[in-house]
Amino acid sequence: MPTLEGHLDDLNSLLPRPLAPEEMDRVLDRVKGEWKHFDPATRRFKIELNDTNRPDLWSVEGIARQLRGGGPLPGHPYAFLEQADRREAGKAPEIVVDPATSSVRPFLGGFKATGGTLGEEGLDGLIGTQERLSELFGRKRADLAIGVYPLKGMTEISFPLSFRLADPDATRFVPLGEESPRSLREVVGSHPKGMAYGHLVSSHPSWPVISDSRGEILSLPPIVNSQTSGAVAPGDRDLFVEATGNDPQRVLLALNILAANLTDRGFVVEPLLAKGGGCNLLTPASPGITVFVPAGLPARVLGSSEDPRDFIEVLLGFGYPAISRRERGTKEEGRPFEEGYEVLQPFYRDDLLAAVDAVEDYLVARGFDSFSPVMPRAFTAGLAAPRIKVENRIRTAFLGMGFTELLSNILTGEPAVTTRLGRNGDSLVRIDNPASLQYAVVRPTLLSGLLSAESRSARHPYPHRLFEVGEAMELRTLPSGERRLKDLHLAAALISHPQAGISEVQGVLEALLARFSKRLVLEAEDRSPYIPGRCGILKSTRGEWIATVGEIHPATLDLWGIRMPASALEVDIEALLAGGDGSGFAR
Amino acid sequence: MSQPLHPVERALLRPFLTREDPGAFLSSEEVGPLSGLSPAQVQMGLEMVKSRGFLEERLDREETLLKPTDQGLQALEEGLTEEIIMEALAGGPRPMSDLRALFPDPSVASKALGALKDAGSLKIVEGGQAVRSGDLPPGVILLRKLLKMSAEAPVVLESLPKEEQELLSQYQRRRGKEKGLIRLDVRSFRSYRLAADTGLSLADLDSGDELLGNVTPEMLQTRSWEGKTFRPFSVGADAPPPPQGSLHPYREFLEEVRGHLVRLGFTEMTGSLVEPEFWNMDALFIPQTHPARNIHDIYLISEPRTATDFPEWPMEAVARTHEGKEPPVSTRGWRQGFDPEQAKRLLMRSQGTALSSRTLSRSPSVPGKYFAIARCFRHDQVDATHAVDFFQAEGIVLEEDASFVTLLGLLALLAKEIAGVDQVHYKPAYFPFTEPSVELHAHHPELGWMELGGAGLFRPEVTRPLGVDVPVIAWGMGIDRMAMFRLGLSDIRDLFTGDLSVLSGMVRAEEKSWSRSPQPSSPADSPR
Repeated sequence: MPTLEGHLDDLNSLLPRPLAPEEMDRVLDRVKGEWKHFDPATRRFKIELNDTNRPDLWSVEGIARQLRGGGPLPGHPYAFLEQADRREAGKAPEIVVDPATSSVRPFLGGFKATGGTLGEEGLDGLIGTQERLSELFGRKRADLAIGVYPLKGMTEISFPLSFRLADPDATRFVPLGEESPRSLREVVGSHPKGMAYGHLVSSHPSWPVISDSRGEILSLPPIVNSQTSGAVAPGDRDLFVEATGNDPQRVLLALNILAANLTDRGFVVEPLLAKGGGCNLLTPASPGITVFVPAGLPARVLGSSEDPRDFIEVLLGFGYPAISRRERGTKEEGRPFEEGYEVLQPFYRDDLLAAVDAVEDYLVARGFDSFSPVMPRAFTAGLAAPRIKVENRIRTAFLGMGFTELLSNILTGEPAVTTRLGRNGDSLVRIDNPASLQYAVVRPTLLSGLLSAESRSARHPYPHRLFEVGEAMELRTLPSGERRLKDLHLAAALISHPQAGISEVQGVLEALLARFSKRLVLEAEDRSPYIPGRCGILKSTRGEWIATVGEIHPATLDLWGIRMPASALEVDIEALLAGGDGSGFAR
Repeated sequence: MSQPLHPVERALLRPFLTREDPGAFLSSEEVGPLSGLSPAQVQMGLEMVKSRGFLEERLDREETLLKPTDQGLQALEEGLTEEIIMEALAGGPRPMSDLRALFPDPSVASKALGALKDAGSLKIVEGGQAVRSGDLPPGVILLRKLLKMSAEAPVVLESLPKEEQELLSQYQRRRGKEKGLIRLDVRSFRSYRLAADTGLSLADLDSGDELLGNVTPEMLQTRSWEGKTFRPFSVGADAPPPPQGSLHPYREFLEEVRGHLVRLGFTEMTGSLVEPEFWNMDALFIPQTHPARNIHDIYLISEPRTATDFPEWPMEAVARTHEGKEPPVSTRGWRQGFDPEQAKRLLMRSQGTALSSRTLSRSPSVPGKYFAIARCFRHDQVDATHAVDFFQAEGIVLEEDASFVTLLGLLALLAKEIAGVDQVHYKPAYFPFTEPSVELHAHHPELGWMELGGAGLFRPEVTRPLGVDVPVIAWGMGIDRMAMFRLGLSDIRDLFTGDLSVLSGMVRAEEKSWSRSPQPSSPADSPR
């Protein structure tokens, strides 16, 4: 989730009425934001933004715009929208796109913003917005990257620009923050941005560059601007903004957001046309996307009998530029005739996927607290899962025998369930991308959790009687040889004191089985981590393992650093219950 | 005298009453042979008569016993850290990194190296090499001597020469928080004499033999108790605690939540720990490029990598919805390709909502309410606020007239029933699978405003492809935070601890929180 930092006075300068810090948390409900931090001394704030689908809100300008009701500031209309609409189709593009770029970075769009001033705060804000859009909305620049340039910097940018592919070794420019020219390949190899984003182009034989009509290289998108023509200063009054990516809608949306933000900061935005190959983008511009909200849907979502009368009015006040009542579908279209509202999405948003999205905006605009909760009326009978009922029967049985319950993590380290139990890891379910080796496999047994507890609890007065009931997992091989995941439902217990032996724990298992009307018939079998000859297992009539009891081998205790005898049992609950008639299984 | 004396009290008091000088003190060691009582009986008897004010007590002296700890015994066998280092340097200079590698915990080595350097036993020369420049510090030599002596028989600290006592205390101080090699147990020696004005006389010691102690089967059979008096029991004295087990307080908390939900009419869902992305993500309309789906946020399974039961899934309907193709849903979708192979990838369940999407696809009851308390896994660095796996409570409600206002009603009900809070705030939220989406914030009397959970109405993009036509309310709650508060924990990892003392701390915190919460009495219990 994006976090936005800013200055309260800056935010207030974009609002009709200044807001106090105390009212921020509730006010931010309208932008799905949370007031996370405010420093009264510096008046700087942090806001956490929860709507990952509304990148227009990831800036101070965007938040202010939504709080204003979605429109421009007085005297600074979003005139570029009409300008884009009026643009003649035949006019030559300001950015010529080389069709070859389509294999590397297919879409580019850009605009000019002139006559404003950013200042320190505004420049920091612009860079922050650019970063959030590229990193989060552009997925670390893979889908979208943005570049901002001074139109009249060290060298004045001369149009038309060209977006083309260049030889990474023969082409040279001075990357941002450096002094001397280097080849594109050197930039990717050693510049911090090159190392971070170079992989987006490095597999291609030639790399994209933006250059002006005099051949001056502006940038190596999506990686880094040039120092000579791409370093923006707080005092710059005229800017060129571009975005490149794989998806024309994302490129357009990002530029629309930035154009709105810069207009709010006093700039005049002039749309530019980028054309060539498959790319034909005039940006910024309204994509004119509408969503049809069937009549009656707002009423259904609200739980009322008819659509609210202020539905259109409230949405218009929330930034929707146009809403009209409309009839959709005719007999010829083969679609039932339907009445409803045609809702035009604001140009700086692209999160309206379906009718419910517009209805939610109506609710947000009204304020959730303005609706009275109604209790659900339908009667239903509740029921706990059968598995939980069994677990609770086992838990109370252990409690009755004086055991203490443990709850352990399901992910664990591989040694804990292999070498430290004297077992191999053949049937372990492993994590492909563990965050830490301590949590790299799914536990196949609960014994390791009990032994780990024992190893940490030597100071706790003995005797120790511990148990755990819970989920585990292993790989099972089918007759076909294919290996499938198998969820396990296990119960295990451990007793530790100077005389802890097999007979005590065997008695516990017997008492536990009796709770399910099962009889205990143990076979001697040697199984790690138990002492050979002091371990028994219970099998079903079909020979499936159900339970093991035994004394833990001193070598195992030693591996866990346990200096007290221990005996343990483990039961497969599912196999136990599959035993059926209650007459016992081993005959 | 208000109460007759217990036989142990009588035996204990006899030496005091029969002495020539009743005002002189007797040490606790002397009382044993004089009274004929065992040391344990002396201890018990002294407590009993003291509590009745018959004896006055004087502290004579204290002594400190040295005993090696487990680490001490190990060091005795394997060598002290300083000894191991000096031994390693016997053959000539060695790099510091080599020396650190001798120990599992490099910080132990660093401390010992520092101490040896300060004592002049070694110095660091060019190239980070350590070289011997003297003998083992006297403190280390003494420590070994004391470890050896105390391993054989307890050593009294005060009996050691002053220099040795000083050296040892320096050593203990320097070692600071690190686990010590030697444990110090303080033993006190006390004396007693008869208190003034007890009114006790030898006659009191001879009476009371006819009193009965505990009831025995024989007594009942022979009716020998008839006409006799039972010896009063000093009911104020401490009693031994019974051996007891306990259920895990967190698990008990989950049972409580489960109980609330069942009573509210919810049926429990369960499922596998491993889900394909299809049920965990795609069926919930989470775009395939969503950040929550990248490998830094989910745990993928090594083998098998993909699910095999996909022919049973409504894959096509879900894919069309993601791509924005009608039917089954009128939506613009995510306007990107849908990769069925990604949908088949197996991961550790990252949200309980995976169980809801499965339930929706299996012709659920309408009206119907379902819930799960599911173990979920998140790819995070484990710390005080992030556990590798944790429990999530969540549920769905299917109802013909389910709406935004019934969603709010349900949330208010859950907040009251599960968290016990009346004051709530509904905050607009964003989740890919619900619209409208709400975050439930509740005002906790002690913690202030806190986020309790997320909820919403499932998008038609979720319900329609799974074959559900009625509105569905979905909600989820972070119950671990509620549990941590109840159990007095500040570190989420403690919910899954194996440390029995932390666990018993949780049990006590739970008992405390129970006694703090108001215990409602039902109207039927009150007298009429």
